[in-house]
Parts: sequence; structure tokens; C-alpha cells
Amino acid sequence: MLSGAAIAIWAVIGGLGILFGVFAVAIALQAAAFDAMRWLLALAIEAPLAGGIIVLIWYSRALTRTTAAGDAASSALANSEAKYRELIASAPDGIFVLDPQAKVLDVNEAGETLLGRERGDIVGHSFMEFVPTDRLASAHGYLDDRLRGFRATELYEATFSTAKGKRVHVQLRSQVVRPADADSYVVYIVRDVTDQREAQRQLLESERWASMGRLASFVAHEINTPLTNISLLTASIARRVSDAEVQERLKKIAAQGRIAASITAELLKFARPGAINPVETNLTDLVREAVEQAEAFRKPGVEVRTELGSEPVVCTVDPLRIHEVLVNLLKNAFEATANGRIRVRLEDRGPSVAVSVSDTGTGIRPEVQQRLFEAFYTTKKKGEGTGLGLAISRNFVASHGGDITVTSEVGKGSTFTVFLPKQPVSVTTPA
Amino acid sequence: MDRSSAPSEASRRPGILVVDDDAGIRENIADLLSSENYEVVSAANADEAMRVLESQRIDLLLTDFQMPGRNGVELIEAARRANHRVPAILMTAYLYVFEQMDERRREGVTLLRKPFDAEEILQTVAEKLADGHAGKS
Repeated sequence: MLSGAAIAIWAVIGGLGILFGVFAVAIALQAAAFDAMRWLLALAIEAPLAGGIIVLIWYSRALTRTTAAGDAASSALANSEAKYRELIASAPDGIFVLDPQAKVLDVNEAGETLLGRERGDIVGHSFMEFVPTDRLASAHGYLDDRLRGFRATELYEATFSTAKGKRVHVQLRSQVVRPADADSYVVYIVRDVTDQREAQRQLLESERWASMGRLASFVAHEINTPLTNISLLTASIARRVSDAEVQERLKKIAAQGRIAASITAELLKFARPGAINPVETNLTDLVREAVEQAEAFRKPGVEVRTELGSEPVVCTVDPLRIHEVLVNLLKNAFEATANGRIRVRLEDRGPSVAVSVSDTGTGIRPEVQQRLFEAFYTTKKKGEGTGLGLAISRNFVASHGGDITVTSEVGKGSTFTVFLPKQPVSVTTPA
Repeated sequence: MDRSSAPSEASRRPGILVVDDDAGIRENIADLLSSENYEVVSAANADEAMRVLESQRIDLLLTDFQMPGRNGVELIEAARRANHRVPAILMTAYLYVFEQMDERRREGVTLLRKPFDAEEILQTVAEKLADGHAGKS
């Protein structure tokens, strides 16, 4: 590539060359009328022209060499810049360059993926647009602190919301860059730790369940012996006295003992769901029996509708445990519904089955839904529930390799659905 | 080892060995069963129970599962190895204990789930003894 200066020089050389040529022709034509004066004149004009041409050619060559060196240097610079761009573009962590007002100046591909947004929807926007409202104060605080030179070594945990509204948990490191001849900027290096956080949460939860199971088992076992003694002693007194009033009170003691016994039995079921005993079972009949058994909890204004299909659904499950799960779901539905309808639907889905229990009852608030399957969590009045029913149900279903889900709307009702594989998957029973 | 009633009478009463590390359970069961005309011997652990089995005729073994030393299942197995074909009732809150025993070991063993009341234990004992006698005749 020729630079502008080189072109100009070559134009001048060309011009000088033409002049040189014209004079040379003129001199040659006038050779007949030769005299010393003309020779002198020709020499005086042609010599400087030739000299000029030579000097300019030499200069132009020198200039070309310098430009080539310059070109090489600038192409090396461009190469290295491309390399750095590539490095940043391919970095697994999201990299965001922010001005001190949190406006995004640049973002790499991982950053785009992390936010689920295109580059055009990130660059030029405030970084704070991607922070959920409840985390804004903390995000602003962190940026301000960093600009003032604090929290340099801190691994800041933050939450972003993606374009689809999903919350992403991230770990963030940052660097404030203060160039001598330009404005300061901040580089955020952001790692998506949503999956790790989820794995960690699951691990903690399973540890929590295990220790809760051990506690429940210990309590139940320790209480069972005194309960047995109370019951035997009550019977012993009952055999020895005939006073009707005493007999009446002994009956009440026995009844209280039975309530306590049912609680310890629940505790033990939760603590140790035990191995399941799957056998080929007609699920259609099982659902029908469960509906009949739960009927006792139905309030007068409530209608029950069953949609069990025309063909019986057969699958390999532990009938006792699945029966208990269904009765528990139905009982909850009946308790939540003063008026309206309970619908029980059995769906054959090929390799799996789904049994759903829908009610038109009170519905469940979202914050309660989140904790619904937690052991000892109950919204019932004291003495009306242990808060173990759904925890046990989920354990039972999980030990079949299935799952229970819930959808609910306050004031409209809830649907609980039990998904079960037709053939049990080998799963480890919860501790 | 406490003895709740005299060992022999003209018409022999069924002998029941109650094994539990809880003294209250031993006393209360003995009290209840004696009042129903059973002859009751009790033991606080598996070793004591084995000595009773060696020394006198027992028609039914009623044992707790969780005890210091050998547990109830181990006691039943030791009794079987020593050729005591005595029917047994295993008292436990841990259902899985029973579920996990293999069928051969479960043979002749009935589970009595803790906590239980007087009626439940009397019924289970009566049924077990009736079964035992039916088997012998």
C-alpha cells in the first residue's frame, strides 16, 4: 500500500520527468542551431531536473521502506488486539465494562448468554436494569464502594434477572481501571453459579432431611415405650375398678394415648419410609378405594367426580403406600373445600401414569406452596395435623421414582398431581 | 429375672417369656397377662432370656426389638439355633425391622407394633398361642 506522501512524491517525480523529457527533445531539435549558450542553458535546466528526480526517487524508496515497517508494526498491533478480543469473547465468565455511572460500555458473549439478552440490549443500558428490584440497593452500594476503592478482594454474590424473568445467581469480581489519559471504567467478571447453588441447596436439604429423620425416629421410639406403659396401666386400672366415672376417664386417657400413638406412627413413617414392595396393581381400583375411604371427610355441599378412563390402568407399585398417598391428597382436598367439587382424574401416559386431585377450595398462597412438602410444616390448627402428610407422601412417591406437583390459585382451588412410572425405577430411599 | 406366678399348677397354664429392657413394660405386661391366667416370666435382655429358655418350658416368647446387647431378632435367631421352636412376638416401633427380615427368619414371628394397648397385646398373644397349639396337634 502506498501512503499519500509516496503518491505525492511519485507525482512530482513524474512531472519532473516530463519536463526533463520536453527539454531534452527541445535541445535535440535545436541541435542544428547549436551554440555554446544553448548547451549551457540545456545543462542548467536538465541537470537540476535530473538531480531532483534522482533525489526524489531515493527519498521515495526510503519512505516506502519506513511505511512498510510501520505497516508491519500496526498489523502486529491489530493482531494482538484481535487476540485479546477473542480471549474476552471466548471467556467462560461474563465480562462487562461499565462507566462509573453503571452504563455498560462493552460485554462479551458469555455476558450476553448470562443475561439472555443480545449485545444491543445490553451495551448502552444501565447495568442496574438487569438487577432485580430487591437487589438494587446492594448492587449500587457495591459499585459505589468499588469506585471509592473498597471491597477490592470481595467475591460479591449477586442476582440478575434474565430477559425471560429467570433469576440467575452469580459471583462477581471487579476491577476499577483508571487510565491516565481517559475516564475511569469498571470491569465486572461475572460467573453463573445458579447450578452450583442449586446442587448445594439440594445437598443441604437432603442432609437436613436425614438428620430430621433421625430425630423423628429417636423421638418416636423413646415416646412409644412410655405410651405403651400408660396404655397398659390404664387397662390395668380399668380391670380393677368398677366406678363408672373412673371408667369414663380411663377411656379418655386411652383415647388421648391413641392420638399420641398415631403421631409417633406418622413420625416413624416419615423417618423411615422403608423399602417399597411393588406388585402389579390395578391403579383404577386403588384410586376408587381411596376415594371411598376419604369420603368420610367430605362436607355435604361437595360433589366428587372421578374420571378414571374406560380401561383399567395397571402398574407396578406398592399398593399400601400409594393408597395412603391418595387418601392423604383427597383428605386435604376435602378439608380445603366447604362447597364445590373435587375431581379425581387418572391418566394413562404410556410408560407412566398421572393421578390428579383437584378441588375448588380455598387455594394455597404461593409462599405456602413453596413449603408445602416440608416436614412439620402445617397450616392446620394445633392438634389437627402433624405437618407430615405431604412430606410422607412425597417420600413414598419418590421411592417409586415418581413425583408430586401442585398448582394452586387462592380462592379458586388446587390441583395435586402424582406422577408414577408404570414400572418402578430403582431409587435410593430417603434416609 | 422376676417371676410373677408359681411355675406349676394342676392344669398347666401357657408359659410366656416377656423380654424388654424397660422395667415398666415388663411389669405391666406381666400384670396384664397374669390377670388373664398366663404364667409369665420376664427377662431384661437376650442373655437372661436364653437362660430362661434353657431352664423351663416356654410356650411363647414376647420380645422387644431394641435392647442393650443382642436385639430381639438376634434373640429369636439364637433361640432357633438352640432348637427352641417357640413361637415369638416381636414388639417394635420400627416396622422396617420386620420388613427387612427374610421370610425364613420371619417364620413363626408376629409383629406387635409399639405403642400397643391392652386389647391388642391380649389378642395377639391369644392368636399366637392358638396357632402354636394348632400347629402341634
